[in-house]
Amino acid sequence: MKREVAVILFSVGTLAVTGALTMNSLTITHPTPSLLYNHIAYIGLGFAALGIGNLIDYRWLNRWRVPNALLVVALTLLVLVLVPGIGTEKNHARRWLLFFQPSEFAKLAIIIWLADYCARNLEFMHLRRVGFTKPVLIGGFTAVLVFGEPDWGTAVLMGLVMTAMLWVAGAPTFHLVSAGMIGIELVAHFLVRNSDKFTRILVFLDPWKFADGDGWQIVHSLLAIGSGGLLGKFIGDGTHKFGFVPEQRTDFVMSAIGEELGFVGCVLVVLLFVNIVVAGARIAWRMADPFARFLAFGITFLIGTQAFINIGVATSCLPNKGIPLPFVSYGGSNMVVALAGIGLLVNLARYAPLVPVPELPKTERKAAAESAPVFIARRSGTCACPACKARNWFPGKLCWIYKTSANESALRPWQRAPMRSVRCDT
Amino acid sequence: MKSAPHYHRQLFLTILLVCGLAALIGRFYLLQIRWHDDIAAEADKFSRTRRLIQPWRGEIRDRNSQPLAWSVPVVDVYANLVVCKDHVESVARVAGPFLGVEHRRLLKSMYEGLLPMDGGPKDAVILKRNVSIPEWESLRNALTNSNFGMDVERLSRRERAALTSLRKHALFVRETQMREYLTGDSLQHVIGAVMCSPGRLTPEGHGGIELRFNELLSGKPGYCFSRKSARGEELLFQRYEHAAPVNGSSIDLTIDFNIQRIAEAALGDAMDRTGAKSGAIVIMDPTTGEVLALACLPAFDLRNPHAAPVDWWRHHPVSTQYEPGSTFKLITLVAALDLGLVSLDHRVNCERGYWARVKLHDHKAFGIQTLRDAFGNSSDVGLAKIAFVIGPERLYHCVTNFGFDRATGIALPGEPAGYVPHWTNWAVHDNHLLARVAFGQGLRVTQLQMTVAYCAAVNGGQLVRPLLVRQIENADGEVVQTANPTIIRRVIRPETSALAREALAVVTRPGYTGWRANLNYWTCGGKTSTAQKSTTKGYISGALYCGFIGHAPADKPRMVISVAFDEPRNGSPSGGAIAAPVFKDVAEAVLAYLGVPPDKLPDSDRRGLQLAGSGAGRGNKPAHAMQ
Repeated sequence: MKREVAVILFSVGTLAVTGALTMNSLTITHPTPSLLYNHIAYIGLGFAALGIGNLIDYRWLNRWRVPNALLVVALTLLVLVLVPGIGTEKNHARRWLLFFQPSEFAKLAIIIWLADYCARNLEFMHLRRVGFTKPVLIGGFTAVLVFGEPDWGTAVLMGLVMTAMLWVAGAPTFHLVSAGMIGIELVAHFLVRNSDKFTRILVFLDPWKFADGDGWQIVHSLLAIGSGGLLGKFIGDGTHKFGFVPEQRTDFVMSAIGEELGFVGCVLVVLLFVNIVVAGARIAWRMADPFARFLAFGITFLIGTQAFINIGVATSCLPNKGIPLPFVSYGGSNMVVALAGIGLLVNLARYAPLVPVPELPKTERKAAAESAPVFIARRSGTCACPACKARNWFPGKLCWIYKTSANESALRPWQRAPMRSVRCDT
Repeated sequence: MKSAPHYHRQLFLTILLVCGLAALIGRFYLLQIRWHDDIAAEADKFSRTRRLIQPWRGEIRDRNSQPLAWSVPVVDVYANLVVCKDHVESVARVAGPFLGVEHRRLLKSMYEGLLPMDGGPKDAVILKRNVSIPEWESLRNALTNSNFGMDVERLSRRERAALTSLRKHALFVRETQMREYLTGDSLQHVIGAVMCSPGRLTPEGHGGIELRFNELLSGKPGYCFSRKSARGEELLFQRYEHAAPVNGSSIDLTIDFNIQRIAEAALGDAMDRTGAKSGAIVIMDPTTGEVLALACLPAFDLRNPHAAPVDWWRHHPVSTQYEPGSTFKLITLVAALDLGLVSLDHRVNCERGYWARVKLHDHKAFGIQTLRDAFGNSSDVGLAKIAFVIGPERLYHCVTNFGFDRATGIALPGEPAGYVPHWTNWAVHDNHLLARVAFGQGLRVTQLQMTVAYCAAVNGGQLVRPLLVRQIENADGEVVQTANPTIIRRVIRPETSALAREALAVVTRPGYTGWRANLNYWTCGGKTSTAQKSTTKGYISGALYCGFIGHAPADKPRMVISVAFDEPRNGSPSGGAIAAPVFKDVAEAVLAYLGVPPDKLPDSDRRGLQLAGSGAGRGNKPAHAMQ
């Protein structure tokens, strides 16, 4: 899976560089470049998170209670942010807890939790209660909390990702489709009740009609993208960044890229996301561990969908929603969480077996408990090369993670890769 | 049910996502390639801005290059209603004393701007124009330090932000220029006021030279095309086209400011003395036609013309037509002399004051006189008889030759063409117009036309165009254009002109109508006029127009001075009594100023030579130059 990892890292890096360049040109008139410095710091933090996500033993996430703990933390934060005195309100939305957005963290937490849930109940996912009712209730609760911030875009995104993961894990299609229709009806209900959001739909249908008022943002986003042409006006020469497109740093960063880098740049950005999606899907495909597979698929799907919605909004293919573009937009929480997800993805890629893992016979749970830990993949000492030693130095210090992760892994022994099959990628 | 892993589902979702992303490429293709031109044109409209760079308005100088009017940088102060919407009263209270405007007045204009009338609530209203830069600096300091009636100790965050923006953005200015004058009370009509018309941003001339040469003076505005931000602020670093302004040219007048001051001082005194409705003095060089002074009272304040009644804006010597009266006898006389029909020594019967044939009265009963005396005494009957000798056609042609039927072409706005009825119509009037034209009734002229014609009569017979502009310099100080004396046509022969000067000199001799104009040290000539003012209903009783036109020295005139008063109230209302002494004062001062050598001994020194009781002693106190 070296190739996939290389593709993902190359794409992510290129996107981050593009985002930094765009931020540079967006802040070109600012008296101090503090926003640009912030953005670069976020990228740095994000790559640190990527490293951490890469270095930890992913099976730790699959331990008993860890995904649940993550979910509880995410839910607590989501509830906290809704409390008027604690959450910070900007633009009529209460999304910030001090300096970060819990909804971003919740996206990753719910994916980890759901992957864990699906892996644990893999055999029973086709049952309604296991595959549908329980996860939809819990995930729906999370999404509703996000929805109430209000952050409709992230809520819809979480709903999409959760549905996709459940479906891939084997949840009954009929129930998912029914629930999806109910969800659509609910959203439509709130839309009609909420005139602000309903205007967004009207604006989406005919932006030029509302060009002076509510359609200003989307119209100028289109003008910015369209005026870029084939090759764009070059970095820094765009004129729409001078207040014409509100939120150009975050949700409409694509308009800045479209204006300054042109068609070529836009296609490049889209293709980089396609790269990430395809590589991530290939990694997920090759995972022997169901948890790892669902996790990889969830992260990949999250990033792809988020990119699709963001670019679709900027080009007026979708109604207006506030979702940042991963790796490119300004915003620390999103950057760190997305890059941490990529870190996990890269981490998972290392566990792809050299040969496809054969379907193992279903065994009794009891037999699993009795089976000796012969097949436990010992990560440290697998390879004595200096790179492995260096890599294992820090986890070795955090020995409780390191030691227990192997022993208490949720992986059934027969699900683990045999000793020889683990490849050292370092 | 197929058990996990559902590879086909994962494959399906992945392909769906990839297809969705690929579809976005199609969208980008449409936006950026297919519709690029239209969208780019539309986007350009939003971000393009054009800014006018005001050119510097040129100076107006007198003939000695003394600046009379020039421009200084000032600012127009505006109130930003978006910022001070809720604090209008406190802003008005702070700004009022610094702008020198009562704060209630400021308040009124700001509230009017906030009303949803006349184009809705406005973003900004103008508070005061032409505020000097130091004044604005002090006002800005006051704004920065003011609390606007808020308690600074206890403010919410929102209020504090509001206070900060009030201090910074409550008022803003637009840089512009204002006219500054050497003296505000001089040459008002000639220079003319400069104001901003409503809706225009560049100041424009509204009268006089400023109006006539507005294009030249104001120059050519520069433009710069640049990009703007969404707030409309120009982005200096995105400027893509720049045309520098061409500053206005400077205009040198032929007017000598010292002579102008002499004339204005004398005119002012005379206006006080006589209580006339208006008065004017025109001083011209007869040979070149240069206008040396052009004074007109009452006058407005150049800096604030609206404070004066509109009547005062009228430039009487150039724009107001009147019946010239006796001054016009000069034209009749000159016509007869030039045609060789009479000589100055011919005798004419003045019918003892009343010529029954044309029902004509004289102001005094005269018997048979030489033409010289009849002219000197200003006998209407005598000159009417000369007119009958000339005949209507020839007199008409002479009158039009002198330019009474058209504008003189001076470089000032508002000059009317004269009104001379055609000679074929002279007989249809109930009162015989030929006789009345002879002494200046039945036609309308301006004082300037009369002065120019007088110049032609005394300068050797050449009608000259009156010059007001001497030269025009462009902004770099290069002389672009110089006005040369223009001779329009020869009207009379030089010998006739000499005779005319002789006849005019008679008028100012002791004992004749213009004796009060007799100068102490210089010979001079002139002609009085006391004209009744007419309306369409006929002549107004008691409304007189008293004038005097004279030249000095008598033989080689250096200047022609025309003095006129409209409806003087005090003293005996006649040109000889009211205008002639003013001529004398002005002429002596101006001749002394020009350094013209005296060509005559004072009358007091040759008292023994004079006839007793001629009245010469009364008006001839030694005069001092009025400076």
